[in-house]
Amino acid sequence: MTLHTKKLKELKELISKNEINSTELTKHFLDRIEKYSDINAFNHIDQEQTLEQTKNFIKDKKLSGIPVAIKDLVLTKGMKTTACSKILENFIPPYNATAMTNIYNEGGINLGKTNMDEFAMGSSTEYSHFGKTKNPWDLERVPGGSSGGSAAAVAARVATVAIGSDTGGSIRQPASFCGVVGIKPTYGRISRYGVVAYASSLDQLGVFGSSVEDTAYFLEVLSGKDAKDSTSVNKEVPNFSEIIKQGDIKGLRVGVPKEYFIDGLDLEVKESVQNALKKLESLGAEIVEISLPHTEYALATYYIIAPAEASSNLSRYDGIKYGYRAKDTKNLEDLYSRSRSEAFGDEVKRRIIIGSFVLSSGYYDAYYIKAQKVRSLIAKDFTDAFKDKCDVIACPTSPTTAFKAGQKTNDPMTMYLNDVFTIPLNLAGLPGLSVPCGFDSKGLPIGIQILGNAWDEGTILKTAYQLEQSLNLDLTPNLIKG
Amino acid sequence: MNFTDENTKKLLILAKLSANTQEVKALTSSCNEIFSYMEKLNELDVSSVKPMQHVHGSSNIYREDTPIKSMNTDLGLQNAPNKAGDYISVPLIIEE
Amino acid sequence: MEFETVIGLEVHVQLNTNTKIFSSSKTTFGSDPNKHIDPVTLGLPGALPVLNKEVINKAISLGLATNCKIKEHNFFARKHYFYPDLPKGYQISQFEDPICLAGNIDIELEDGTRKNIGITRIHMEEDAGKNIHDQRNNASLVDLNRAGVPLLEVVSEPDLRNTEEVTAYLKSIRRIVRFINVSDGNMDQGSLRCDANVSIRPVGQKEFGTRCEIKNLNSFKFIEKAIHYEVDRQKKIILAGGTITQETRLFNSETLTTHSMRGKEESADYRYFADPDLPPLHIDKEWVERMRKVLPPLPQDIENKLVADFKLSEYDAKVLTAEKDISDFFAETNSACKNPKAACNWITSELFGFLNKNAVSLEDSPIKPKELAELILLIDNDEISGKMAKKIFEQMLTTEKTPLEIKEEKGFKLIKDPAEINVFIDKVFEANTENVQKYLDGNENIFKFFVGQVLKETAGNAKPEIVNECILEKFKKLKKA
Repeated sequence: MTLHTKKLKELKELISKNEINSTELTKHFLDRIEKYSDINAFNHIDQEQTLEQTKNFIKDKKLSGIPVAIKDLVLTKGMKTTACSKILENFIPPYNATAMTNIYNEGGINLGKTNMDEFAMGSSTEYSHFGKTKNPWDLERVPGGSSGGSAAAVAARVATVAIGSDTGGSIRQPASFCGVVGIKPTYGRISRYGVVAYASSLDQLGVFGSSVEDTAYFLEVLSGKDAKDSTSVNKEVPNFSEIIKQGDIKGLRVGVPKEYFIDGLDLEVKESVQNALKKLESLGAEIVEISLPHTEYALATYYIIAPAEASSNLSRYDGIKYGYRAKDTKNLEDLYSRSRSEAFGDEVKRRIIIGSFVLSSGYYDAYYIKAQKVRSLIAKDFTDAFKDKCDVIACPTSPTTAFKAGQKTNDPMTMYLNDVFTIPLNLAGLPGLSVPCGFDSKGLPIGIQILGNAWDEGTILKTAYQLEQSLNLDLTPNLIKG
Repeated sequence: MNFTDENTKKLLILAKLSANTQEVKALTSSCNEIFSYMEKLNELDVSSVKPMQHVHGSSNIYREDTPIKSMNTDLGLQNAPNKAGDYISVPLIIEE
Repeated sequence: MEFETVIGLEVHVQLNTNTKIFSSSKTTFGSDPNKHIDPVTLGLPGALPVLNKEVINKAISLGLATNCKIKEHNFFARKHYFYPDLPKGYQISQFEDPICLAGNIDIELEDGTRKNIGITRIHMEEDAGKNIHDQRNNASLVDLNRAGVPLLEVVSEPDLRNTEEVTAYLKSIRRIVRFINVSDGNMDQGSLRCDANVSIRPVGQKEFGTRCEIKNLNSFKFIEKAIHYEVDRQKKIILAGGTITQETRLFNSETLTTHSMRGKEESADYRYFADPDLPPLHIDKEWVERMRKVLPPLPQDIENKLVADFKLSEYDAKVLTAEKDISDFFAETNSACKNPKAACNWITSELFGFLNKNAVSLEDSPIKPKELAELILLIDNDEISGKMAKKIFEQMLTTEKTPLEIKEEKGFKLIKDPAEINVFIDKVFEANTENVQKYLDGNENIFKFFVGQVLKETAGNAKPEIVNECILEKFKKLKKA
């Protein structure tokens, strides 16, 4: 049975022709999840609910009968949603995120909730309350984070496609580590309603797929203006999965920012990315050196803004209306501080402290406002580049390939430096994806980022598609071969 | 700036978190490292730059004043740690 | 040492929109607990605010009604603190860039003088839920129905100098918000709430003293008592050589004292920042003009007009503009009968007399403006006398019949035919020949006696002016003779 190697459109076809039914298909994936449970890609599976859905989905829609994996910060009504935190470990949402509603309206099935760094704060999925996720390419290594569970699930083909979220690179970096495609669309493309908020001005849901085509197709389902999210934007959703196949990339100007080819960049990663650029050239693209001069300030900017917004968004976890409440508390004060302290992990606490500091009176201007100003400069770097220098931007996704579990958890700064190449895009609110472009000498996947102008997911997906087709890499981890 | 244990303790109170002496030290130490890194931003002159407080320049997003059916009380409170009838119950607040 | 009291008020006006400011749940008061809830109200993970346009409209209206400048660029900010009735752990409010700035309103004091009070700003924010303290069970109960109900916070300049001015100001605000239909302005139900900033300074000193904010003032009586207590407290401290600490104090409605909430102050670093979930608001001139066009006439303006155009007394004008429904009732009645003085009198003494005695609201009045106008027109058209009108009015209170119907039924008719009246005059002259002679001899004062007697004979149903004329005629004839 190679159902897990089939593309979404193929599966849709098979189901509509009754050659397979949704229950069989979904059971196939549930069995595979079980088989490769060591990876710990999934945080929560509810077989009963999932199989029930396979009997009741809407027919003749884009995802009719097809199960998809959901990162556990997307609220699924009636099914636990925890953001992989102890503070929500038993939380059953009374409503669905708009993204889920979109999936259900297109006939999709909820396969289960995937593992993640607690509250999306992390780059390795080692900070989950429910244990680490392992990289299917090497079980001693991390899958990246914070959407490590979704990335690993797709990499191990225990899910067709998966939803992830990306605030500082949490889709693109794990996509690179796990040898899958991962896209973060333009800020405002996908509704944030019903998505556990980390940093409101940076968070976006996105997609993991084992192919650019599947990624593009699933992106169509999730996208669209939502009246319930004031930051979602009214832009028509193009047929991405068709656009990618239209024409070629001859004459496409691919900007390569010199600031991304710095000392900390692993040589093998550099080589692989440069090869991919040569490939793009051979396909007719024009490689142009550009400068994004404020790149080096992006990390500091992000680690002021994101924790600030996070400290605010996490104020609601107070043990009062839902979530973990400490036992035998003496009074209200005790209830607050014990509930929060007992149930938030260390990284989350750290970011809450940082965030509270940069917003606090006396420091607000020097830190938060300054960071928002630098953010304007970083965003302007991109818009200037896209104005007249290039159509898309290409660069490495991560300075390294997947590192070993436990290697970077001792020192926050070391962990934060993973995100240097992905963070600037979030600050600018623009779309970007990571697509596999090679392997290092250890056989670990390497990803290249293709970044685009606002609302131009079509062009970056098309570029990635051309590259993917041309490279034709074997992206099946040994673990699942045979 | 030199971030101290005093800073950490004040912020813990503000954020309704508690920590023992060791934890406070660990937090202070990480914060110091992180804030030192942030000093980098002082290399830039941003005096004439506007802060980017909203992405994409949207404005005037609002809805009509039309009521919708409210969420059922039991459903809405199904995750409440402690209830008293249809109220959420918390330890007695003493202030007045 | 003589001290001057300086007071600034922060009034929270709860808006009467259908739905909350950031979610579409209802704002209905007095429902069962936790009935009007939704993910935003509950502060559930993933919930996002969506602004209610009507809140902006009402904010602009209140700004226009208080002579404020309406700010073009607005945004919302998050104000952080932890409390069980604040589900998100932050309140969405406006900190910098409030929607209205630099306004003012006139207040009228008991001695008739007017004073202008500055309004620093008006901003939009959301209300918190309610905590009910259940001492017996050692628990507090949280009801989030009110969480998210829209509020406008009206901040006055520290222009108030005593509790009389404070009461006048509050009453003015209350009247305005009710007249322009942005709020019920009901202190009992909490749709109008106020905090007072109180300080004192030696008379003649320009600088303000240190102020304290007094909270939990939910009736006019308590506001007065709280301010008196606080001023006394501050005076005692200063006279003893101490200094006032700037702090928030809670008013205790049982002991009628204020006490410090200092514990709360320390953690009151609200960490304001622009709410990333809500794009900014741009209010252009066209929007403001649209709201200006539909703004109902303001009570003070109506009051002034009643005095200037209709020559009603200031007192009467105030009564008629105390509430919008009274003002509307008067306007409708007057528009139909064109006799403002009569309309005023009938409404304020006869109708209100009945309504007050029987605890009936104006809304439920058995007599509607149109009917009252009809009655007045019957008098003005010389069809009935004042006395007859009163009797008809009484009937109107208990039946559905029109004034005309009742008049016909009772056979009421104003006696205005001189021939009819002369019959009565003759009767009176015959019975009072001595007095007739007195008048003819030059005692003009006795004329009144005859008018009185004739009116008595007609049971008050003759038109007095005609009675006067006829008696004069009679005397003229007698003189000639």
